[in-house]
Amino acid sequence: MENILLALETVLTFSNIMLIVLGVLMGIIVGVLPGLTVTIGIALLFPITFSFDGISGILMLLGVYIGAVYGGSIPAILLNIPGTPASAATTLEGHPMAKRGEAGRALQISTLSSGVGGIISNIALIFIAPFLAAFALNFSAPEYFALAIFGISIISSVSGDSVIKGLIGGTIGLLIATIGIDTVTGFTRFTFNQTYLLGGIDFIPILIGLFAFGQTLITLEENYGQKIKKTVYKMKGFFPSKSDIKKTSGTMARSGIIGTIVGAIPGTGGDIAAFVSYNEAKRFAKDKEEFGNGSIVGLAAPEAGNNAVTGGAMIPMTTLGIPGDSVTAIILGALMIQGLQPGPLLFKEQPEQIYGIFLGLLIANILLIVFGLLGIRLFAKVINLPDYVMTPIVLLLCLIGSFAINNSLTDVLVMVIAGFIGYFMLKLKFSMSPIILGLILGPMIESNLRRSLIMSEGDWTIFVTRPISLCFLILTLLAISSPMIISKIKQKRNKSITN
Amino acid sequence: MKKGNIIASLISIGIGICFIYLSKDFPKEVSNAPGPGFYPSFLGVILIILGVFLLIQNLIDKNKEDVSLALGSKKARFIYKVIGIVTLYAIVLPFIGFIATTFSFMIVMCYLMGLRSYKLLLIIPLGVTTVVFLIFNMVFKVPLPSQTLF
Repeated sequence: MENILLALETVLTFSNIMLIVLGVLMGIIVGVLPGLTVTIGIALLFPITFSFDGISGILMLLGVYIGAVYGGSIPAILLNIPGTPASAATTLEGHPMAKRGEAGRALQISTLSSGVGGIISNIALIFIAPFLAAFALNFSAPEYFALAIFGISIISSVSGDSVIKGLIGGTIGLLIATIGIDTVTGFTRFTFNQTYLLGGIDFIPILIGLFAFGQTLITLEENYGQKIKKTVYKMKGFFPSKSDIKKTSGTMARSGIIGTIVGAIPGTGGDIAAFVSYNEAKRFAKDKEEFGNGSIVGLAAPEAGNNAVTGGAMIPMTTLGIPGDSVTAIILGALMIQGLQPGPLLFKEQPEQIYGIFLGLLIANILLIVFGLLGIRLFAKVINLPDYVMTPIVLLLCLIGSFAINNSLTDVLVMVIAGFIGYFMLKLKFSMSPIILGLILGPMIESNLRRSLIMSEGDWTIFVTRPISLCFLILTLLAISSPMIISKIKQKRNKSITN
Repeated sequence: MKKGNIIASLISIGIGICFIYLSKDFPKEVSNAPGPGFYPSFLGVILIILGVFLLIQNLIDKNKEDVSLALGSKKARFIYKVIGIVTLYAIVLPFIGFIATTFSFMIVMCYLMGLRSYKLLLIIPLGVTTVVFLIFNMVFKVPLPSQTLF
């Protein structure tokens, strides 16, 4: 409680609140624009948040995160195009409602559910995180190594088409992370006597290059010659009706809890949470026939579910320092750059900062409801922003953003090269997330591996003789093999159905 | 796709070999534990193994439907133009400064994206350059490069 009061003092300043508002608004715009995903948005706006010291920039970034996850639902409802993958389930009920002339009603309920889902997960985060952090305080190098290995094992679920390609990407990320001064011995590695490489390759230009520049090029190529039609819709009032709120409140609460749990499991994400929430809502519903024809309950479920992922994903990230997906990996990187190393020690040493982050997230969710409801009409207009304006601006932000981090022109070139490589890798169906996970988790893996071996004087059994470390290694094996097992089970089931 | 995958696997093997070669002279042992060269060479070995896997997978699987990458298609050529303009921006920026580079970049990019109205081709680049300059220079205090050539 004392910590929360301390954190309130840190967070509740005029400038911080304004930064959260700005973050939420920019996030919503990113989410609304088809082609810009949550990850692209975070990568693009990262350098901007970077110019604010300490926790302020992080608060803005969290605002972007929450705003973008929500914003994706607006084109999902109006155009049947999910702005982000997390909003795919929203199209199922949202678009039929819009076609029926109830776009306004759908947008209002989606805004409210998003905010409520986010708030539920945030409360869970505030209560669960300290316990997990207290447990993790007993961890030493071998446990952290095993934990980081478990963290990197989510590559198998974020690899897209080919696990081998995901693993190749992850290994390349880990290798890039070794460039520069070795943290254990101070030995310089792979620097070719270049001062730029001495401190290691900064991951932000690579991040912007791979996620924002490379991804934008792919989207450009895919949409080449296509025209998106303009939207026309009607809307009354600002707030959802009482009967709609009454109808959906149970679903919102359930989906909020589902989303939090799904989010807390590394390797999952908003899209999975949204579909699980939707299915559960359908299972619990009295009139199942409404589903598929614009059910308001079926709309509230994925919306609350995908926004609840935000709080859930922050649980392993803040307490153990392992990211659940590429977005939390970037936020983790942002925290480290601001000198906050996520993990149990952060709870002990800088509680006002970590609780400040939690409270900032809560405030962002509340602001999301307020600004979402008031500004829906404006945000919906953003969809009609022509490509010839949006694309040049996104590319310009990639260039300026990579310059702004260290005011370095070399960073700009690194970004361009990373984007160029990223474009070809994406064409070959390599997913970008494993590379970033490798880059961010690399130092944690290597330093803890070698510290453990120094502790044990070169004895490798240290990782399997310590129970917690052994547990994480077993979990890793399960995580790697689960996609294969699941697909085998599915194949069997399909066979038994066709027979 | 298959050809691309084979090239990708060969590049992976190449990167793996490079890292192993470059770390061959690093200290072998520090305090009885593996030294700074151990971990990168270990990753190099893993990368080579993964590369070989990918190579074999693509060489064996003859029935796999081959998706053409269409590296020379109209779409792809358009993307190369975009990459070229962005690269040019990064190279020219230190010489003619942020304002001139950004203004010209925006005109060229908007035109490439299909904008043909002369009025808009002037207004959008002017507006974007001004807004970005004000935000980054005034609010975020980023010292955007000024011209050095003239």
